[in-house]
Amino acid sequence: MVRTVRRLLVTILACAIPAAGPAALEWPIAGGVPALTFGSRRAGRFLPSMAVGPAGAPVRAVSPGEITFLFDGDKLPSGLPCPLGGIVAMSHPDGMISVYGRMERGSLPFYLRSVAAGDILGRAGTSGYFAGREASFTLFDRVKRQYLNPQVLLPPVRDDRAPAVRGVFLAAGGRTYPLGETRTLRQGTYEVVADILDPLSAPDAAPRAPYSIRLLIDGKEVVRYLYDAARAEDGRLRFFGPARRDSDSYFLDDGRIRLGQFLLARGRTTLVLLVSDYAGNEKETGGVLLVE
Amino acid sequence: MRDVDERPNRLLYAIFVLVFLAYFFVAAVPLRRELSLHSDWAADVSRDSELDGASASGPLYTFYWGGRYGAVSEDGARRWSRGASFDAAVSDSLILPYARESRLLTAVTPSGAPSISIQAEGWPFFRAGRLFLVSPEMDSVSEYSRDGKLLWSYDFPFKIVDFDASATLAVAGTLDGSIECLDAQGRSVLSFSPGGSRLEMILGVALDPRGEAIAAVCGADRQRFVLLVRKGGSFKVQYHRYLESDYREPVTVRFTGDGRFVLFRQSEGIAVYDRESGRESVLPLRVQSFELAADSSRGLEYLFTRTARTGQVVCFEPPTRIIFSYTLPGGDLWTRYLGESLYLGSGAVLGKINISEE
Repeated sequence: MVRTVRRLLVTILACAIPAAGPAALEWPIAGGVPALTFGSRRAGRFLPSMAVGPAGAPVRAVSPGEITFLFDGDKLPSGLPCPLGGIVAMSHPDGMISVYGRMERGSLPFYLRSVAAGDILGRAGTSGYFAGREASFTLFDRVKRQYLNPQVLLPPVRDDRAPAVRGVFLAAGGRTYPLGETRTLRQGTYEVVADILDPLSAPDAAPRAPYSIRLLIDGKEVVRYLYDAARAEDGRLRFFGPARRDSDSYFLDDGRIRLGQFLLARGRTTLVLLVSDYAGNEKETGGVLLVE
Repeated sequence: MRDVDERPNRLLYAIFVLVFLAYFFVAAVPLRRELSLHSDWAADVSRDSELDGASASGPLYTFYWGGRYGAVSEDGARRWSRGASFDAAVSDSLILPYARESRLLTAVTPSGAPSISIQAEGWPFFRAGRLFLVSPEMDSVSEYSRDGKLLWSYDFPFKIVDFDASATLAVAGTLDGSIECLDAQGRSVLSFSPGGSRLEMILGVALDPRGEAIAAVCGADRQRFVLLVRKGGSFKVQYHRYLESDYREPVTVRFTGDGRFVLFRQSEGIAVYDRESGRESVLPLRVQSFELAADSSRGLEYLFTRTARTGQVVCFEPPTRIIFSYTLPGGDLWTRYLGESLYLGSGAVLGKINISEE
């Protein structure tokens, strides 16, 4: 039942966002499995795009549009380094901009202007900062000036594996208390962090982000991260959800996700962490603490 | 009878002298300056070498081209060079070689000694002597102090495709067609979308060296040149013009050293916009990109450009009078104008050319 409701929510969202955007998108790499999803940790902060591979595979336009910017190299003519490598940017009639980065040198279509969905734009992943791995794919809503999670709009990837929660931890005063192993805690404010990844069906170690994270304390929802969109506000990239987490403070150095600081009052406290992926698979983890 | 004949001659003579004097003092154009170029020295820097005579006095000028970085003294006698694993950012006082997937940047001084270290992911670059780092996704820029401390970091609304800075401002152009301007503390002072085109993007943006004006080439169908000028605390559009071009790639935009002229790439050459007269003219150079260096004592500009196979140095008096042009073999070119000398690096050779006026 819960899974059905989740799938329904994802479907509604996938329909709601394209109200200002495309009706349907095609995967930039056919049969593509994202190496990194929107919100994954990369370069110490969350990624407002996705990485799709493998390197060398043809990269296709996800929907019809017009090419607005092409660049083939690692340094722009002005001398600005270009860690995004080879770039193709497209403007779509519905106000979306798609950007394909880290494309192979010499593979870009400098002769093209109008592009149909599925047209080849180049080959993936041999330029820029993460050369030799994947292409970068970004979707941006020009009207709202926000990044969109492409995976909400792309055809679903077969996935019957639930997200993995490798641990939930409470930290205070320089000490960390793993939930489940800890029975009693002293009253006070604790930072809750979680070690979460979405393994998809294919077994690989890429730390993909889930689709949503909810934390309930004593049945009350205190955190709700929804990986649907992000935008820069006042020079800081933030998730565009109720939590509005700052990109720089979202992850700990070891990749665990910060869920926030909470005051635990005396008595029995129940913590429940609900994590779901794009296919609606859900993982529930929790524990009961006696706060003294 | 004789007196009557001489009077008109004297009158004509006086008129001639007056006209000549008037022409000489009012309408005469000075003779064109003649610049002569003398090769001072040339050195092979293709092999790794360390500095000889490090204790000797005199500045060392940093360089980077063709995958090699180093520094050289004015007389060329003292020099060193090393190979960069991927690329290097160079300023007068620091060289930052970096790997493609760098996480730790270690700078060296002009004498080759290790200097500051910066732990960050991204690629470094210098503008107006300031040290910046652009993030791997090209959506964020950070500024670092000369001792390696993070001064500020700014996440732009979208990916940037050009960036320029003066001593007090920084400006970026985004892929969704916005010009974003930051102050010295990394706070937004301007977010401006020129608009006016069916497709909106910034192809090139530049900041006047004094931070008084911003120029950009933007949009497609139709493409525009836009000039913003600071008035009070904000920037206002002073001039704009629709262009014939339909570029979908980076377009170089640069101010001359005194900020009076703006140069930008056009299909017929390099357009030169004079901010004082409001006139636009064309330097007949069909190049994709270029850099400028000012010879302020002579009122000249040096334009450096490169193609896959050659590099070119063009000395011109703005707006468009070309004084000389110099073509070098090898597409990867390093150029610097210092004092009255031109330092050139091309292929494996670094050299100095003295420029004198005759």
